[in-house]
Amino acid sequence: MIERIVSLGGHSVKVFSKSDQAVAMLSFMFDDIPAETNAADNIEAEFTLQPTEDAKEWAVLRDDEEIYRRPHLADAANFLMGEVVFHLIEHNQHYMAIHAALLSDERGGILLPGESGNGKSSLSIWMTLNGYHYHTDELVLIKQGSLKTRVFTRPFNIKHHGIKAISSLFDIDTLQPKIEQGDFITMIAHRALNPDFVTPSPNISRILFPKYDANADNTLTKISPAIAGIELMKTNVIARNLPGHGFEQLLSIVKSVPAYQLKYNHFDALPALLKGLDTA
Amino acid sequence: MAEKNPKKNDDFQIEEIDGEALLYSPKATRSIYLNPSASIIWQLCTGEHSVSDITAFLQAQFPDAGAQVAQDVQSTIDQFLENEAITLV
Repeated sequence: MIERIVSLGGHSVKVFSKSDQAVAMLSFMFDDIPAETNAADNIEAEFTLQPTEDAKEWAVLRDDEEIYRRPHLADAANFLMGEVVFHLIEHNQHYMAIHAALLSDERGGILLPGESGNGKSSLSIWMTLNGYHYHTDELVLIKQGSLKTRVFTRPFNIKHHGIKAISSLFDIDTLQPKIEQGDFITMIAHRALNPDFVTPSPNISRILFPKYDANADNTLTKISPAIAGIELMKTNVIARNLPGHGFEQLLSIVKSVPAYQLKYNHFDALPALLKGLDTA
Repeated sequence: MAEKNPKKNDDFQIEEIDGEALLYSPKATRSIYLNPSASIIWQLCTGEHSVSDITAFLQAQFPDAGAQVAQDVQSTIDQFLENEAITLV
């Protein structure tokens, strides 16, 4: 049995694995989210990723009770990742947690907030392949009273409806074995596309609300702080833990950095559109 | 409804930014975006002015907008009511 601790923002989760494949998968998913100092003192939950007794499926256990099983390791691992994220932020009271991707350029971090399935991961891949540094496609913690970030850096996480779009960007087959595929999810090791990965994660310098729409015009529009605030509020995942539900902190952020709405109907439109971020 | 007086719910706090505003209720965990005209309407929801008064006030401020003002006031008041940001007294 191999044990690993994953930490973020002062909270930790312990994960056990009972096979070489599971150990490798946990390494694949969590190598960029190491245990923090004193992590053993703030364990929020314990999970195990292991093959079922008949070795035909993969199971996720919490405190020795099975809570999920699927034929593909990637699907079980992806479920586990969701549980880990939940437990890392559930009791967090010091950071605003935004459901967002974070990339960066020489001017700092670009926050891409959005609900699941809005194309954050696909856009993150495109941006990474086009000179931006990837930090996460899932979760950004923002320190209260600042623009400093802590991120949940994980493999690119592509749902099946997004595979067709990203397959036009690079040859997925050449990335094997840096890809894990299940029935529901494809995970791509971010370092395969992001060799210049740097830590720590950057301060936020711009906010970009992306929206892929095959029928939309390609536009990059600067939006007001008030509109940015209402949109950012929708992705504030643990507001209940924060003083005033994080409203004051959120306002401070949208007053400090410019925000944009990006609509695009094809990756080819992005180079021209994103130049607008450089001239802001 | 036109002769009722809309009154702000004290649970909501407002933050004005560059003429626009955000309303937020920590208790109800609701947030509402207010464009400049909605922001003015909110300020007038003191319980002392009727919906008709508010409409007349804004029509005087924006005479070119005509009937659109009445429509905007009504939809904004409806939005406030849906979010329980005001009560009619």
